[in-house]
Amino acid sequence: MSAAITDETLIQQALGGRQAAFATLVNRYERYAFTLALRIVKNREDATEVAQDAFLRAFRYLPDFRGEARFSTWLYKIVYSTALNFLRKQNPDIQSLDDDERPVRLADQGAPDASFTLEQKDRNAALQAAINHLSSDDAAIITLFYLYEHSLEEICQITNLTMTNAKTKLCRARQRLKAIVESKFATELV
Amino acid sequence: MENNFMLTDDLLWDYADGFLDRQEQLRVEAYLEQNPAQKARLEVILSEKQALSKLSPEMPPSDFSRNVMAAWAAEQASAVQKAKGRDWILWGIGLLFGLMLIAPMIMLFLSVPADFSVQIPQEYIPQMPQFDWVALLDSALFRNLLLISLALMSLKILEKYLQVRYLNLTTR
Repeated sequence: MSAAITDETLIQQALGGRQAAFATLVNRYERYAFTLALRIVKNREDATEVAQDAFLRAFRYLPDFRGEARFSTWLYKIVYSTALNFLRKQNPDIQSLDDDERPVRLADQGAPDASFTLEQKDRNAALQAAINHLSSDDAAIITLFYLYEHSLEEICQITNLTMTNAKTKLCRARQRLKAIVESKFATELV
Repeated sequence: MENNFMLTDDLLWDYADGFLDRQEQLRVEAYLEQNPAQKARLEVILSEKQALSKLSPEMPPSDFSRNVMAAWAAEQASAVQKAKGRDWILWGIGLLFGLMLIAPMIMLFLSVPADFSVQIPQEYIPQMPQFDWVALLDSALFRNLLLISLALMSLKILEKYLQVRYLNLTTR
């Protein structure tokens, strides 16, 4: 069973020239790599291109993977940088995905949480849609932390942020997500 | 509990995300014990956090994996072709160095004048043995040996012929 084979074993097999090991790694991470790419580039076709390019880059530089981090962290770092390069090529004026200048509309602390009242299915749909409305940077950090359950240290490795910056960005991304859910989706789904 | 302690939403999220140190955690927990409303608020946050972690990753196109592997195979084939190209370059360099080593020797031989001769004393030149071919052909021993050799060769050919014939008969 391929599921029982660890990433490390697959990497060793791939480095030994076994094509099936490469294929298993693609099958194992394609959804996560694609989702991260989609969160950043916001378009399925472009995300497919970015994720494919990222996998090829990962395979090309696989001999350089020293196993200091998880393979997934290393792969997502490649996906992240490939997606950023893609966006820069599309729009050379982009220097950073940082949108910390964008104001965050804070919800009333005492008000009941609108998303809490949504049905589970609707809530998932609303959350997915709300994440798609976030900026690339916010969507990436939310995806990495909550969906992929990467630690803050791993997110720093992927995004090259400092711990403080990563924490601040995560907090702001969460606030923006909440604001989007409440303003765009809560009223129609409650 | 200190009067100036403010339990904000962000602090609750930090608590839920595990970003607080032990001392801050204890302060939050102590505050929550005394404030059921805030405890309910934490439940909401934990529920939202769970909802975020339960979101399904997006599905790439069905041929994604196949396309990646095809592109990877093409890239590897291209790398092999490039390596072959590099092999030719290495062979070329080797040939060049070989020629550089051999060329001086060739030049040395070619530079010797055509009328170059060395006078060697007669006693140092080996004498070729004289062989009488006519006497050999006329000898009875030679003729008999020749006949025996021809007879052996004929028998060998006959043996081969019979072997082939026998094999053909048995395989029919």
